[in-house]
Amino acid sequence: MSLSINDAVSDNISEPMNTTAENTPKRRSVRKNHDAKHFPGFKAVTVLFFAFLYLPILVVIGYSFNENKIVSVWHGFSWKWYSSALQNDGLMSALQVSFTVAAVATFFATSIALAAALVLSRGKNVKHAPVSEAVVNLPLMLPEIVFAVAVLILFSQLEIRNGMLKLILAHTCFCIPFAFLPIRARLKGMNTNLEQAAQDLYAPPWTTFKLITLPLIMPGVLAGAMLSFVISLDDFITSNIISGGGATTLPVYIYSLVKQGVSPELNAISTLIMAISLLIATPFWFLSNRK
Amino acid sequence: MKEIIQIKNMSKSYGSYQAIKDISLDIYHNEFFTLLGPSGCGKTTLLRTIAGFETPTSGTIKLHGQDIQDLPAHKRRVNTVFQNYALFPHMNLAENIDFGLRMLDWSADERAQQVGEMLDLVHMKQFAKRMPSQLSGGQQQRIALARALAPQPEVLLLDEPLSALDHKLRQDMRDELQALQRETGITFVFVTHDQEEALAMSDRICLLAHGEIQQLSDSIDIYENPNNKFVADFIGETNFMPVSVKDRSDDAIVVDTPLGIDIKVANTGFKKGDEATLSLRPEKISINAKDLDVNIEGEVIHHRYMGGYTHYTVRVDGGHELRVSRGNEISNDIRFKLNERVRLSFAYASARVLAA
Ligand SMILES: Nc1ncnc2c1ncn2[C@@H]1O[C@H](COP(=O)(O)OP(=O)(O)OP(=O)(O)O)[C@@H](O)[C@H]1O
Ligand SMILES: [Mg+2]
Repeated sequence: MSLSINDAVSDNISEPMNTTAENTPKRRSVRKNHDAKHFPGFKAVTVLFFAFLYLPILVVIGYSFNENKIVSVWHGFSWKWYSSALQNDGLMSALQVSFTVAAVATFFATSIALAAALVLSRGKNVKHAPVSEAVVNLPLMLPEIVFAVAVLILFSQLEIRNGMLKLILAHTCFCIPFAFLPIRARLKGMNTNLEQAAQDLYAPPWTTFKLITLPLIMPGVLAGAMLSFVISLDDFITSNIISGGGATTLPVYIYSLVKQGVSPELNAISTLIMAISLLIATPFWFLSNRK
Repeated sequence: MKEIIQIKNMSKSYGSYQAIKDISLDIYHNEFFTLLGPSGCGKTTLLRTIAGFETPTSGTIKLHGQDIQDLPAHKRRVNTVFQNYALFPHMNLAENIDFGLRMLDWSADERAQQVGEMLDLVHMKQFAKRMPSQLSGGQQQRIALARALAPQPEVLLLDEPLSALDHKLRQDMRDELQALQRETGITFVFVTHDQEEALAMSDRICLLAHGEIQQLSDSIDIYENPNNKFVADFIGETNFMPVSVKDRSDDAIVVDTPLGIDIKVANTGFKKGDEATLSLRPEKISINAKDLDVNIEGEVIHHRYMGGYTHYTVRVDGGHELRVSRGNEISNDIRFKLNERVRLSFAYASARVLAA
């Protein structure tokens, strides 16, 4: 009886009410009429949206194979900009710096974020937990330039001169909230009964963490690590401001190239970075989407 | 009978809220012990302090005569069946059952054998390699049980393990649980808010309300001889009526009732002139049957057919209403119609006088 009433109601209301297991099959047919796919012009808007998003990228990829030295005039297919990019020592060393910094910063940021998330969601009698959590997340709201200037001043006060060290410290710092968010979300969503069940079955705390908590929040940890890595690789403002000391990251290096004029080599470099990012992101994506 | 768990003057507070108030109780070896009570009365809290997930604010808990209130959960030889089962989602069923054995460093052979036996015990052998998410609620429940039993704990704690199951399955699992308890000889501490479940399964029932013990006795005693109004009301159904004590002798009192008659019942410590409450269970009143100590007339004002029996509400002459239940012994024979005049009879021995 309640079923027919529910259905009658939802026929008149566009927003489906809370669906319950028993009446989902019926609800689905009702819902179809309100599916976004059925709005007029939906397809065209979608196509436009994706074109807007990806056309510039496709142009970059396309012109990276352009023979011509003048970037925007097509002359014929060639790999030559790729070989010249790969033979560019400055570029290669920037690439190396970027990946080293990203890898090390990701490792530290993720470890720190994991520890923070564990304390905040599992610790007993944590004082000022909401404030602490807000403080961990605060850098997300801060304009990056403020952060960059702050670390610049800090490093000069502390007389830290090593370029690599500066980059790693700064990147670790701003990556922490990005690593923290998915881990925290995963821990929040995890049933604490599982950890208690493990302890009930004679697992000491550390073993419980190793065998139960960590495997179950792994997708969150991987997502956090991937985010950190990408954010670090992508960073320009901070890296540029604290650059010097013998380490230049890829975005900073590319920016210096652009200042000298746009060369087709840039297209090749960009395409290469995209390919590498995809290569790294794909396995992470699969891992973190695993249940 | 030997005590396996002894709880003494235990209290547990959350901030200023006292969830458990100075409880003392003993649980015996091989016992099916039930903690019963309405939602929020502290059943889970009490169970969790025994398991080691909560520390009592004051008081002691002994397991085998040894103080355990400061022992962490993973060092207590008790296992828990969680209300939502809490099976490890990333391990298959055999691995779930094996977990405790692994932690206790059993040898590989012993572990394999015990896991096999446990799967057999709960009739789940063919599912050993399945993941928990591929099981129905009832099957998950069995695995949770097998996992908790595998390390051969001294006490098994069960927090409303049947509440997520449908009615029929719940009844089957009741029998299985009880058989399992007899078979293994492990002490069960079983939490439920379902009085029927408690009556059907338990050796002893501890009825809690507001963090305090209302009564601790076996099924028959808690139903037939409730300590107070709360117990009489919570377990089964009953008719309450206000009475006052007219007369008392050493072993009996006479109370006058709103039914217009006086009733003589065993004296449970009342004085002449005391106001009290009389409790009379609906099934102890017969309709149009042979005369008993009390026989009164009235009119059927309501009846509800329940399958196995029918509930009648009868307004007796003088206006007081009594609920009466009668087994439907003959098919299609709902004997008493609305507005029909009937005669109700009950024995003095069926009535209980409780504090007002
Ligand atoms: N962690 C906690 N913090 C504060 N109060 C709590 C906490 N755990 C339980 N309580 C309170 O203690 C009281 C007893 O809770 P408990 O979970 O033991 O009840 P219960 O008898 O198991 O109820 P139910 O049948 O609903 O499971 C409740 O009033 C509850 O609000
Ligand atoms: Mg509970």
